[in-house]
Amino acid sequence: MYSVASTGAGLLLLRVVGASSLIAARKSPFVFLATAFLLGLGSLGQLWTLVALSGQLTRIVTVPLLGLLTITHCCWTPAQIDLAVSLRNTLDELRRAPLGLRVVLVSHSLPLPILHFTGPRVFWRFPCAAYDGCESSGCVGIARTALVQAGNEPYGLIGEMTYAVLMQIGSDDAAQMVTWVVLFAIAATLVGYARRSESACAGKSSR
Amino acid sequence: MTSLITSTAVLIWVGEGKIDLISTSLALASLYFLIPRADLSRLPAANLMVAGLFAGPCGWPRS
Repeated sequence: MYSVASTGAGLLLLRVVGASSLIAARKSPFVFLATAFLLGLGSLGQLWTLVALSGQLTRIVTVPLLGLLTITHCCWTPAQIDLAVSLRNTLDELRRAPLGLRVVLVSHSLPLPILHFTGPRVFWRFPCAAYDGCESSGCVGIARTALVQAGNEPYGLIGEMTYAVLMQIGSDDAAQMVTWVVLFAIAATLVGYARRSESACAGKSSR
Repeated sequence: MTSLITSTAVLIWVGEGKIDLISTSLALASLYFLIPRADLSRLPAANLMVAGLFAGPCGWPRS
């Protein structure tokens, strides 16, 4: 649900800056989906930080907002149409992708959920007590502590706050699974890099 | 991409739920929109706006 809501927020932002149709028109469905998702993830992370600093980051605030963002997909706006077209094109592109790429994608996609529900829980679980009291305090303590923590300077608080909200509305598992979705968004962006480099090389060789 | 999803240096962090990957993905997305065109013409304004959003209000490292 959080990923769908993030995509909804990202589409809204793209529409506001007038970039939705331009990016979709570039025929990079992977990148369009990843852009919408990541933009929403980042903007929501920043929003949660501000809300947490005011001590209001509770389910009463987060759940309705995420619900509204999810419902935006029901409004058949041009951005949603672009998203639907991108989803269809992504499936077509995956079918047309080289066999090697498909093998790599499938062979690494399938074990990830299994690893998530088995490996991480047993071997990689680092319980974060700081988030336990999040709901009662509105996460204000976490936001303030995270802001002054030296290690967070290069990364900001987007990840921390996303984690806190996922813990709030879901569970530890939901919070840990967000990296799984982000990995695919990174992969889609890298495919976009490859496409752009490919077209740049083609452009140079044709000159 | 193959090296990304076959590297234990990445997969372990994915399994562990390392949320710093979120900032990394935003930085990568920002740079994508700043890749120059083959003919080195001006980037569209939409590209710069989206890159700016990724680099500023919506994320990326602050320092």
